[in-house]
Amino acid sequence: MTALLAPFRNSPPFSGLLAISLVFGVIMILIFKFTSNQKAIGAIRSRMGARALGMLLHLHSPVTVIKAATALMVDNLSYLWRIVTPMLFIAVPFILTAAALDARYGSMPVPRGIPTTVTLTWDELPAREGFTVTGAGITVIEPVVFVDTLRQTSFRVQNASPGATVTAGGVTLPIGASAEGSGSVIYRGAARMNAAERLLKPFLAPLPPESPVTGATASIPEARYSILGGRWSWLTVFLVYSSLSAIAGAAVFKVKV
Amino acid sequence: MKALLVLFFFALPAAAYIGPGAGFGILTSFLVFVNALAVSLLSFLFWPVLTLVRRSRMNRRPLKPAAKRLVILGLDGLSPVLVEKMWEKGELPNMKRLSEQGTFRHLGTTTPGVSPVAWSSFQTGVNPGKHGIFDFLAPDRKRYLAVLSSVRTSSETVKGITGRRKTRTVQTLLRKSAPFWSYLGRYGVRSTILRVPITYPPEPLDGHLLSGMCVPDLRGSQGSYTVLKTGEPEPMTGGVQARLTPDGDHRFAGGIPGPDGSLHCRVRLDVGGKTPRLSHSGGSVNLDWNALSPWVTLEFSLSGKKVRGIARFRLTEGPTLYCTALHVDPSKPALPLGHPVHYSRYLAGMQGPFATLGLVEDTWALSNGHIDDGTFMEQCAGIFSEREKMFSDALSKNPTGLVVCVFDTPDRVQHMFWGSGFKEGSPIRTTYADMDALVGRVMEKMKKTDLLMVLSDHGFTSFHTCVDFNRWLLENGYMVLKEGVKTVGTSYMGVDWEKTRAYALGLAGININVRGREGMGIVEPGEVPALTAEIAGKLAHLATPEGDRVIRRARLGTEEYKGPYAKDGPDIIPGTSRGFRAGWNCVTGGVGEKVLYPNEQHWNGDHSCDPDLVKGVLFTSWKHDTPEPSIIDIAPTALGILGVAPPPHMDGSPL
Repeated sequence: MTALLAPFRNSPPFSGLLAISLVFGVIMILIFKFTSNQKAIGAIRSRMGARALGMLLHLHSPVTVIKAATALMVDNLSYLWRIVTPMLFIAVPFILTAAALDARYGSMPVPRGIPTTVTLTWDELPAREGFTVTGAGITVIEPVVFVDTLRQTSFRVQNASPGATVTAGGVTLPIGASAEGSGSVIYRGAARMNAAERLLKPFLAPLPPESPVTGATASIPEARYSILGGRWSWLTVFLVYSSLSAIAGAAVFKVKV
Repeated sequence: MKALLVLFFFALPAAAYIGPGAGFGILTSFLVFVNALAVSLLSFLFWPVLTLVRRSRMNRRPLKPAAKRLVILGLDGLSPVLVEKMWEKGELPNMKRLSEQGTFRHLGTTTPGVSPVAWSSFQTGVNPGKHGIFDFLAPDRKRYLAVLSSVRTSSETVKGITGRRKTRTVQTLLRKSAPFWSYLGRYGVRSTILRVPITYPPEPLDGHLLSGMCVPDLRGSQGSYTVLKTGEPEPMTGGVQARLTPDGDHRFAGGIPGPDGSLHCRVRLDVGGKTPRLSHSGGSVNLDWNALSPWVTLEFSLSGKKVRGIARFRLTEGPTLYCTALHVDPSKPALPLGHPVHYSRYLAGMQGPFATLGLVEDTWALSNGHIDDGTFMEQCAGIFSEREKMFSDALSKNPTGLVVCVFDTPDRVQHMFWGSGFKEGSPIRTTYADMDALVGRVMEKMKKTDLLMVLSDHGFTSFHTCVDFNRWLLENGYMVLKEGVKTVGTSYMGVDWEKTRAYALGLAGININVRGREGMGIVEPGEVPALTAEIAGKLAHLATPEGDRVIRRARLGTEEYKGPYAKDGPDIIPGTSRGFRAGWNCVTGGVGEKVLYPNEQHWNGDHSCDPDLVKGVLFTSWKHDTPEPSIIDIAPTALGILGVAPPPHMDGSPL
């Protein structure tokens, strides 16, 4: 993903998101084409259209309409069954791509002048005395708050620069900072994770199993993108543009959906 | 597995959306569900109102209906003579059963007994003088040309929404007088009319209609097939030859001429592999050697629009690729094929693509040797099966009113195989047995409150000798050719109209060259009766060298046709004896070398002779005592059965 977004590193985040959405739409529609029985889907859709027309043609006869409606529902189930296979094939790349995009476009870097709270959860809460928090490329705002019952420490940060890290009680974490410009991961926290969880939660920095910190969260604001006078989440932008490109792809590659 | 479970259960909320493609599928599915519910609900809400309105109209019917539903099954060209012959051998049990339950009669046809005329009289209940269809072809009297009798194609300029003027093609149905189902509609009785000839372009009605005979193909013709082969294309009748160019090892490229002749649908043929493959703009299809392919959708670009047609292919050695006529695709019709316009889409969705051309069976390809007998019969069987599916659908969806369906197969098979006889397994005998089985299946679907009619528009006889009426007129001094002209190929090229008093056109018509009516008429209107009587009298003496009479009865237009359009009909209708018919070139204005010559075409059965020789069949599921019913009696009978009084202008009488 990072390599794919490399050309957009110096562009506004929206351009990278747009490009990914467009490419993704076409790829998904092609996966759908090659993993589905296109002939059967075409036939069943045609029959469903005919049943709908049949209902309109026989509006005068409720019995015929109900029979056609029932047949239409049955066809609909059959249609859903037909798209289960492509759905399964599409689900995996979709989930992984969505997670990767969420990590990159779901949040803003820690903004200037607006403090962001960082909370670390420990296996064992460290001693207050001698506990220090320092930032590299980010400003740390004291004090550090200790919550004994939750084994948590909290503090605030602001004014992150690209590649910023925070070191708290000897544990260093990348938080809320974009390391490589537009399209790179913005960490919203950290966690101990296995390989699958890492794939699904790329917005969390991985913590080694021996780390005294079990997890970290940062209250980083959600990113919004301005389109047509509205401010939209990355998911809306992605869904709209990937759908548009899929529609175009379906027409170009003659995909029956 | 664990990883997969984690993947699905811990995915982001966004994963509820499963991506373009399947996402659309889910959305479509949801919309279908909503649509089905909404239409069902609407139907329930409006049903009481619609029923009340319909009931009130139906209650105004002047007569007491004899049946809730009338089903009319038309079997084009079914001969009563052959039916009775097969009964003698214990065959056609369903028709026999129907005749015993009800009544069987020979059904009088029109003059002449050809499908456009007879089916027009069937639907209007009037003689040709009132509906204006006298033959397949009609004379353009000003230009001395043969034109299609039932449809006129013209162009008109219309102003678009943007104010730009554009020219569009307009097709007009020339059959006059209203079909009887339009009278039923006035009283709230719905009709479903399937493939009745001379219903194109479709007229609005209370119900559904799918047009039949005279629906053109995408090229605007009444059916022209294509043969693609290597070598120079040769001109041929009824089809177009296009060139296949070698394009690599066992590969060929070519084009199928489209709507305006020059628009080609590019095709590539690969015969190198185990299964030959045909690629075209819309996709590709596997072909089997010597077998008809399923329907293939082809796309043509016309004025920036995509026009879709369907065709079937057959690949033979050479390679030679036969392509049927380019039928209008019923699922996306470029021309209106029915009423309402989406009726053909509905049928295509329910049963798949089906033949839409008026004259579907490719008789020219068989005559020209581009398909064999087996392929022709395979084509007929496919068409029959498609037709039965739509008929069954109509029967199941319309428990009341009128359902009419015409099957053309018997007509085409008899035209092409009359000469092969009627022995066991012959195409004609097989077809009659198929029709009988169809009658049986329809009878099973009849309810006690239904009535059934099975009828044909005409019978059949042999066609062994061509009669060149133009040659006869020439030899008898009624037609004169220009200096140096001995024969005429077509369209009267070389006829000296300033000296010609009569000309033959179509399957059964001789016209007088009347001053003021024809473009270069020379016969005064007052002289017409004497001249027609003179020609008719002389024709009666036309005989073969063996002394067989060629003309059984020459009828006069003034006596046969009554009504406002009688003047448009031929002046003389030469009713030939069995085995004789107007010669091939004579039909379109040709003048050959001989008056009588053998018919050497595959088309060796016909019915364009004296109408008394080719009566049709009429089976009714009820008993009646009309001894000699005629096809013009069907419309008033159908109206009476469904409680509507026949209008006074109808010539027929209820059975």
